[in-house]
Amino acid sequence: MTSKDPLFWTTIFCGILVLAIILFPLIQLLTASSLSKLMETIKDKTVIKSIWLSIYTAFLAASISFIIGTPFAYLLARKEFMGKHLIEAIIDLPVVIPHPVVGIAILGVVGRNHWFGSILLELGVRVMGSVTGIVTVLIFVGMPLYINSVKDGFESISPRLENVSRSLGASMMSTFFRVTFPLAFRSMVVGLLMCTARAVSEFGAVVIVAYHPMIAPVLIYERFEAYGLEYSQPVAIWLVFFCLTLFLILRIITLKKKKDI
Amino acid sequence: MINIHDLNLKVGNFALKKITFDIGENEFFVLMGPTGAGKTMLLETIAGINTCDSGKIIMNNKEITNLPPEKRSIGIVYQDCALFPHINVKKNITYGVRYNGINREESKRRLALLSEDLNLEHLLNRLPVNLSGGEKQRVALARAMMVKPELILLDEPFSNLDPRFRDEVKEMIRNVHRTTQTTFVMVTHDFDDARELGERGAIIRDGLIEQVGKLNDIFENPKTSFVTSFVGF
Repeated sequence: MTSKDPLFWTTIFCGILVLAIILFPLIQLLTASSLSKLMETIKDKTVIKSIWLSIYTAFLAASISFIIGTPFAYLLARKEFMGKHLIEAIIDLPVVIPHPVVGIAILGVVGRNHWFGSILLELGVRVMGSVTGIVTVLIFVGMPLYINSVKDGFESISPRLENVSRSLGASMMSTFFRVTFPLAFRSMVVGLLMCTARAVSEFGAVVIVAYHPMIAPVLIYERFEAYGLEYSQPVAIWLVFFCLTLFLILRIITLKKKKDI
Repeated sequence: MINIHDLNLKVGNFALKKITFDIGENEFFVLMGPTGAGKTMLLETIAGINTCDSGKIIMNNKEITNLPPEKRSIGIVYQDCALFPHINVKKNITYGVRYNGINREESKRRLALLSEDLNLEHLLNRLPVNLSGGEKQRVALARAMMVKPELILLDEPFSNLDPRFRDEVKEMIRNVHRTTQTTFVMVTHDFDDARELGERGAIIRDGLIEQVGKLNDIFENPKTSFVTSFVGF
């Protein structure tokens, strides 16, 4: 492809268009508030609390996805069984259904009118309007991204490596932790980052299940509704700043470690 | 040493059917057949990676049919070597040490011996990605030999090798077989490799054993029309 080729200019034009669509509103957002306004916002305990809650619940959801999603992803990557395609389609469902529908669906199950919800209430587990509710929603929307990423990672590892490990005396469990897990580590990190990113950005489902305690996207929405754009922008900037810094640090630490192996 | 009796296994549309043959102590047995005949599937069934539907595998008078791979004492070396890419050569070779009750001193002794025999001393700290095809094959063989299995399965060990490494690896396998007196089963397409290394063998087609016996007999007195055409008459 050379500069004389019309395809070259088409790709350049589309590239610029894509970057403009992403960057134009973001740059506008990041430059909209003055430094003094930003400093004033960060001193607001409600803001700090909501950003912390967003990050904390997102990581909790990612950790739970890691614990229960990893063995399941391994099963999907290694075994052929009846109904596997149906199960894979079910896993993808939370990605394609509208977010408020996710919230309504979860509320339907955990509400006091449902037998499951009443059992939870009897056990003292409150989902609606609680951190448990937020984490439940975030797992629901984030876990498919984690499972799909890790499943791809497992599939890329030759089963022959596991066969050899077992022929050398290692059990399946030992083989998993000494061979499969380290080789799939990168895809796990990518899956966790995607799951966390998805969880931090979730709004539509959380606002239905747990308006309070307020995660940052709900707080931004509330301030926008109540006071307008000017009051919601600084909170949004801080959320973007914290998330970006956190993801950058995580990527550098975890993916660098992998290179060192 | 190992007796395979009436072994059957169906996977998808392919099946191993009524596989029956014996391999003697310290023997170098060669399994030959066209692509898709079921050679690797049979090796993996002997290794315990596939579980057979019916039949028996008896090794040293002990039935191992339902034992998992880690309890069989059968090593396997694949044509692509299947070296663990995230650990260096030394760690690859000593991978199985902890599962086989080998203490540190014995592990060091065996590693030194195998490294010398297979000319691996200068490669021990390298990652598999930095090895040539012949080096990878030698490491895979050393890794299997390290735990002293009763049987070693070689799945087309020379097929991915550059011609200049073939003779070198072949010679090393011959030496290892002679010095360790371990029983070997090798899958190959190449009749020259089979004749150079093997004593007895079998021809397999579509999951069925066509002929078993001494290699000279197979090549000189083929018993079926398929074996006749396969060995080139």
